[in-house]
Amino acid sequence: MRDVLPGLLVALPLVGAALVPLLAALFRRTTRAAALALHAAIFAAALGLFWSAAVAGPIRYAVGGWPGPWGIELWFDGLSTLIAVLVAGMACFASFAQTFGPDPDRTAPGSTPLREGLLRGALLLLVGGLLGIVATRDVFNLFVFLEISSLAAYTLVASGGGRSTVAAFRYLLAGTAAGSLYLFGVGFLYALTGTLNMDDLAARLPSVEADAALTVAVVLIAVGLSIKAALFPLHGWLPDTYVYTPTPAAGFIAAVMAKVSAYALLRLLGEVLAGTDAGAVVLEIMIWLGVAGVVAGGVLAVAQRAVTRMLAWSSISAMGMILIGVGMGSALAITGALFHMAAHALAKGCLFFGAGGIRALEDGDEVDRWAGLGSRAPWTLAALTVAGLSMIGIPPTAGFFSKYYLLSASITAGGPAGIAAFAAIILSSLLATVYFLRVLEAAWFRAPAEAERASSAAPAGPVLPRPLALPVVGLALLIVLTGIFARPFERHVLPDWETGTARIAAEAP
Amino acid sequence: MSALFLHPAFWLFAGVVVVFANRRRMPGVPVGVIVALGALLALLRGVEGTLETSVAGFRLVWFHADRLSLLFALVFAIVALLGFLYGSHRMRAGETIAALLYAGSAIATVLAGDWITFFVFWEAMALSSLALIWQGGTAGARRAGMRYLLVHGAGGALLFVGIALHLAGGGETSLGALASDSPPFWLILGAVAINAAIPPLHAWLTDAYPEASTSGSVFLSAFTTKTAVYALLRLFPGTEILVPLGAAMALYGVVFAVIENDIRRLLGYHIVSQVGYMVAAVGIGTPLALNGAASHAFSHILYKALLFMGAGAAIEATGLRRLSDLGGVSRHMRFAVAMYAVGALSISGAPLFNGFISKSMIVSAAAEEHLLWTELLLVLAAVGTFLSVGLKLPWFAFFGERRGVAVRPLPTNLLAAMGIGGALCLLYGLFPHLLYSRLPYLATYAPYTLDHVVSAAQLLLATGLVFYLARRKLAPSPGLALDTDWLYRIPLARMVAATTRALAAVGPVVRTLRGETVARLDSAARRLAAPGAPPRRRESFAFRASIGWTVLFAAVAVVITWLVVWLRNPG
Repeated sequence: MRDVLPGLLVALPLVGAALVPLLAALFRRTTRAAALALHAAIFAAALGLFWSAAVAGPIRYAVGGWPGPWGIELWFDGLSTLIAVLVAGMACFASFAQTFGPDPDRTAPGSTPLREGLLRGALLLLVGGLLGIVATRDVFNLFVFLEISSLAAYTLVASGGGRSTVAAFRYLLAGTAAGSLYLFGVGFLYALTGTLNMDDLAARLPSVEADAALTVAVVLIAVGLSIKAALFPLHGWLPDTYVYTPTPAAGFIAAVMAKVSAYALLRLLGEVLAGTDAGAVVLEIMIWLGVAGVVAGGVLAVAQRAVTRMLAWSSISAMGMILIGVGMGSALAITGALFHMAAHALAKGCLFFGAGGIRALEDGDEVDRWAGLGSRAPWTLAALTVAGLSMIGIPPTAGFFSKYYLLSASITAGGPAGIAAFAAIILSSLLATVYFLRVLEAAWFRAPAEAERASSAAPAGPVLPRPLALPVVGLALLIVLTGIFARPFERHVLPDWETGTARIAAEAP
Repeated sequence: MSALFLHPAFWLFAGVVVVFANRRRMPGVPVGVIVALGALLALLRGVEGTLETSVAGFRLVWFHADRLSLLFALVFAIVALLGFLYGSHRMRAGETIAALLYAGSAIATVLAGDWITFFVFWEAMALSSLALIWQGGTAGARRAGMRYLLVHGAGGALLFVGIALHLAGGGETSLGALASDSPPFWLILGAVAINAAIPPLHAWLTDAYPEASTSGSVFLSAFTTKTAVYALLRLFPGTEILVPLGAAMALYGVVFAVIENDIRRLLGYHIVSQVGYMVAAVGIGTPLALNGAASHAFSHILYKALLFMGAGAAIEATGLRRLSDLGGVSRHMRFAVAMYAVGALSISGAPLFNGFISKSMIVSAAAEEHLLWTELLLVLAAVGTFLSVGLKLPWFAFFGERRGVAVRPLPTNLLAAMGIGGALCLLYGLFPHLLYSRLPYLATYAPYTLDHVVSAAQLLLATGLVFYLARRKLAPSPGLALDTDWLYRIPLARMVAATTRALAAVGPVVRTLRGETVARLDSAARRLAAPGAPPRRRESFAFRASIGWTVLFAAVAVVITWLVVWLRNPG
């Protein structure tokens, strides 16, 4: 199993991405089932790797039989398999939601089977790219996967037509800048050390520590990946992208896209480059920018009237929190950051599936449109409430434990940065209370507006169709389960991180 | 697992599921009555021991029964039962669920044995009480709920930080008195003070409680503040600063109550005042005083629920909530007025009623410790209490001049709940040992001594005389008496409005600077994507982030790095 699964995990989505559109042109219904089955298989592979890495230790897989540092290596430990499970699992939900239709926001030109197949292919390609970023141990290979995932994401964002096209273009501008900066950085590293393998790099870096080019390389890589991870103030692409992406894709992109880049930051800066002077400075700066992002994202989320835009700004706040954890770098902080990635991905996916569907079907995105939804669709709204409570950080949801770990890490870290991070996280919880309960209050306690009832625009019956309602409810259950099983998670991920950093420290001469 | 069923809150939470599942088919209240009865019986059977689980690596003690927590849990279950009975003619599924969650989490909070469980249910209590306030359904309830949320959100954050610091500093995981003068001590005290409504942190109470439904305010009057009293007893016994705070609070609430016009807001100020007695008693810290605080909390919950039921009955019958509108309705609701009178005599500390057996204990404890000023303030507050609840409110609401107010007959269940409440107030007043035998600390006290009874009677008679002479001066005036909530109602609201205006003024400038390009691209893209499509409704462009800034910041970061590197090693 350990010999086959790593290859399958990356190969399955990439091959599927090519096959599914072809299949779609011929058989529409089969394609839906086939795509879903493919995503399920990828998820199973990710779970298998997660299990295998947990039971029998990390897996090093040489692509094509060429061992590192010459060939490309894939590396599966607790961290990477965890994110892989997250990505593959969210993709299953997104694929299910895609049945909702390619143009839920009623803006895209007419849909055809081929078009649907192409969008399903784009989702598979995106998953393949993200899983590649998660798995690879080669910094240039990481760039390739970064570009694959970005191109697929642009397609999915633009598929809504209208404003989505503009949003995709803006995302493309930012994403291209990010990719180029990262590639420059990798170029510098290669020129300095003559290697692209992460382990090899870590071993060779101390010998070039004095070189000024190393500083430039670290900054280029950090800035490039920070744009993709939406670290404040490099977040410009995020709000419009999240808001204008068609719902099925938005649930996926908002859940995992930025997190995978944050994971790449964690791998490169937190593990490989952490030992360098420049790396340490950049990580310190990242804490402060994270603090600024947590506060700014929260404040601007409160300022929004449209629900999806509010969710987008709250994502910027959450990314700030994750990067605070990455910047601190202690075992506790890394646990918090990873847990927040998982908790926030589940909650944001749930909320974007729900809010996007409501926006499409209620024909409006303002908080007032949610009035009275609670009595019409109590189970869906209960699920969205769970997600909202997790975003605020109410126990026993997953969001509570991630904030708990991050707060404990801030206390342990101490110093001005620790105190600022602590205060910012508490403040963000308060702000989240305000902006989520505002929506929940409208949904549960307000009757729909008179004009609304008169025009009978809001039909009775379920608010969300099954392709969206099922992911929403499923994710809400997962949020609670993740919260309850927080401790095994900590036990599983932490040792791998500690041995990983210890190994790198040991390999450094 | 069987221990789970012994947890009284389990009954209430199970009731939530039942009500939710049957929300369209049946009214929720019978379920509420049944589960509250179940919880009550579970408590009366005398549950003991602890219930622990390990969740997510934390040792959680869900159930830790000792005399103190059982006393509070018992009275919480009683008042929940009364509340459901009282509201059963009008409470719908949503309100029942909120009330069940609220009562359940209050019981679970006082039974919690460790910090995390305590925090979890403390927060659940805040959220479910907010839901209960919002069930009031008016715009006023919505806005008051938002203000309530802000205050309790801040309180929850204080509590969380305090607990996190306490645990991070290697503190005990089980609940217990805190080491004084440490940061966790002050943070947690602040959070508890917010829930105990200690001025100036009390305005949320009188702001929000009158906005809930009539049945909702019966529940609200019981749980939040008394859970805070429990927390003070458990965590801060003998903290000296609480003595002056509590005494001042007792008088402060009364002063505002005397000038208040809205009947439920008036009663809300009396919660502040009566909790002041308990806070002062916790501060005194002798076994007698702590017993006094616990027993006064017990008595207070019963008579205060009864008073809110009486005020609610007047509102139900007439649809009016202000003293200046009501008047002369007593002939139509004699039983409710009689039961209200029982509650009013109890809160005033009249002998034979349950307020007397607990309030006099606190005053005696203050006297034993020679706290002259405290005793004086508490006695003064008792005068004001009788003046406003015992005389002013019934005089102007129930008796007084007739204004030809239409009065609807009251439902039986409402009167039954009031009857049971009144009976309990009398029962504990007549047989104090029923309560004293359950008190947590070792101290004996005899309420019915000659000097206690005489001084109480003197006080009440003198107050009655004063009221009779000055009754015209005390006539209520319509209008809103703003309290410390002025601080966040007026200046804060103005500040927010000003900020919004400023942002709105800056917005167009920024938009013109870059909006043209975006708009042009946008329309071009739309033409490309869907030729002939109708123009879409323009959405709000609030605070869009700019890509230009992103790229600019990235470029600046890189250029600065180049500069730094170049300056360090030129060449």
